[in-house]
Amino acid sequence: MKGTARDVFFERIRDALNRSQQPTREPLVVDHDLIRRGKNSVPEDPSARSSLFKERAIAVGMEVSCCKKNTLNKSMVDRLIRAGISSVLLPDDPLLENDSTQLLQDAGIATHDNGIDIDQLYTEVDCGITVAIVAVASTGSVVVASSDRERRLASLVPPNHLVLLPESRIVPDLIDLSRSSAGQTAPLGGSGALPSCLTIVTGPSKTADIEGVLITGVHGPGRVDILLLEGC
Amino acid sequence: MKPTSTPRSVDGEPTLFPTGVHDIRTRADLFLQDHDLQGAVREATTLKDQARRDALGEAFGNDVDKLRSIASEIKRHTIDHLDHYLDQWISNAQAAGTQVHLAIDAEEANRIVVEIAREKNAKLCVKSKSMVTEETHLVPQLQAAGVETVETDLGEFIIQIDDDAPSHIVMPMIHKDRKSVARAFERELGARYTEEPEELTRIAREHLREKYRQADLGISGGNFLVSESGSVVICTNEGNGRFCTSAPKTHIAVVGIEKVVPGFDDLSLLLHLLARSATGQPLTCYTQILTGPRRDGELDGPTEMHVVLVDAGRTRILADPEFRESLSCIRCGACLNACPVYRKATGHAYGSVYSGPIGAVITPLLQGLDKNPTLPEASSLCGACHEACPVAIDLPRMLVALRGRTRKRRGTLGERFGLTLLRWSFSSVFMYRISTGLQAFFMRCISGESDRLRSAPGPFSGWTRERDLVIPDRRSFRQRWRERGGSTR
Repeated sequence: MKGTARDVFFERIRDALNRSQQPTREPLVVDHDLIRRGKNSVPEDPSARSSLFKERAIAVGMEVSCCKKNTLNKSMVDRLIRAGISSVLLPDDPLLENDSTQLLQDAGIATHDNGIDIDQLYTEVDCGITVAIVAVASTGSVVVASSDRERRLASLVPPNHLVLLPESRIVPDLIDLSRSSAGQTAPLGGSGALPSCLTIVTGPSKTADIEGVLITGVHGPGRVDILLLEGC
Repeated sequence: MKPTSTPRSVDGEPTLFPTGVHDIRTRADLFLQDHDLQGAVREATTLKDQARRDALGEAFGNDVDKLRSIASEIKRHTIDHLDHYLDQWISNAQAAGTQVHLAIDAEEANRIVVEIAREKNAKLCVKSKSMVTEETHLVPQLQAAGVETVETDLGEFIIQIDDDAPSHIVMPMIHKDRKSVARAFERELGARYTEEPEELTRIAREHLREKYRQADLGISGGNFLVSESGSVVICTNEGNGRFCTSAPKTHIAVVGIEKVVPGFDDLSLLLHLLARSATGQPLTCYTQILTGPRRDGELDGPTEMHVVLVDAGRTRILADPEFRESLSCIRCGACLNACPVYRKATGHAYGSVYSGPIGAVITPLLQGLDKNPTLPEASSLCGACHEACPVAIDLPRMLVALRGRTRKRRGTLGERFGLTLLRWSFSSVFMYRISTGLQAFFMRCISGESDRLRSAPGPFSGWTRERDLVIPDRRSFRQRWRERGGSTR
């Protein structure tokens, strides 16, 4: 620890708070559920939640298409070809079946795995494919995490980002990220260490810095596609 | 306000970063003459102000004010127990492997960052937007220490290469037009001259990608510190913040101590309010929750994460019950967009890193009222900032309180005489009628045939310098009301 010592630093804060000893802290009691009672929140019904997610994700500029688990590979290839993508970075995720790589290559799409050289990632990959650990219906967001399966840079460096999202991972609201619900543990809070980086993605990279003109794809991906796996 | 036309100094003080006593009135006069600037700022702030109302209304309907008061309660509670939550944050951050450093003032904060850069033998630093590093003027210190430091937010990048300063918390280059960007890119990057925003953005993208690849140090700010997990939360739109915190080996976040919130429940509400208040988005494109450096097994990310917690005057505000509330600010910029004075005077008139109503309150508190004696005057006290604030900070109350601290003197003879007349005129219905009648009479005498008064005499000339005064009708409102058959008591 550089700079001022912890006790000196806290002495100043306690002085400012006019406290001499350790504080007796009153608990913070607020009605967080009010957020969810907002007129647009969809609490429990999974299909309503799923359609709200789609609507909101599209509203913030992402593309959403749906498929079943057993047609994942085919849908993924269709999606990539339609977007004109010729090379991808694949995650090391059990959601993708063994033959995924082969199918992509058969369709003329070059595949890279996590062993990719960083320079290659910057120059040769059109699209990073990642798997969402959770998604938020009320804001239309998908959450990606740093892990031993996915690079942080996979969803950042290539100009396109394809997110695979199992439908069951959609939660109603941001607040549910920190609250366990039926059959699911909360990605934030509770026990278990957090990954070093969780990113809540809500739209493609954008800016309006120059005269308020909206431009996508500033530093991060200009296009985000979500493939929603129904009943999965 | 192109760099070629704006004088480098006003009243003997630098225009962009005045160090001594400066007066917003003389500075505002300068910016009021620039009609292009006025138009651009008015348009951008009006749009963002409307976007905020629409986004909050659409998401929360009539519950908006209830949510604002809960958010305000969360921040107030945390600030009132800052010793507890900050201490808990430090312990949790350290447990996650983050190296925490404590800085009492701006100099110490800069010194710590430079020291880490030296230890890591850093040559190139990529930096994302951070208000607190603007406050401490960190970048020149790093440059002086031989670390090339590049701002990577598009607006901040343009401002850096054009030797300018941000003039809005969220829209840093609100005062610059595409032509000035085109000239700067041509001059500094050797790019072909183009005024197309899309093309200009692409030029910056290519230039900065090279920097991300080569950088050995990344610096960011932090929007929130989550006490229960020791996380730093960063909200950005462009993706440059993600690069700065993911690509280089070392990441340093510089964060003010007031940014702490208790837990993720609380964070979720503040996130719901922050982006909607700032730009009308439900969330910024990227909300990163960073908890320590790269874990064992993770494929990439920085191997060291440092957080510098900065006091720099915040404990002084904390100790002052009248102004403690100002530490609740989440830097959304909504009060700037709503403020009629900010819209006219524009950001640089304030001569401080923080402009608008929140700047007029916290700048004198952080830097001393003696250096910024006129900033609290930069408000009509209309209350728009209070209504716009997502954490319901009572800015008008604090502006009045600050004025009270500068106005210990008695008024001049003229001021006291004027106020005595005003008091009489409001003392009874009869006196009020007499006084308004006389005012209208005198105004008609001065204006002659015209229905507008374009230049008032003597001490009243200040009022007509920037606008015309409409001459009242010969008949009073009450007379006309009666003529239309309206009832009177």
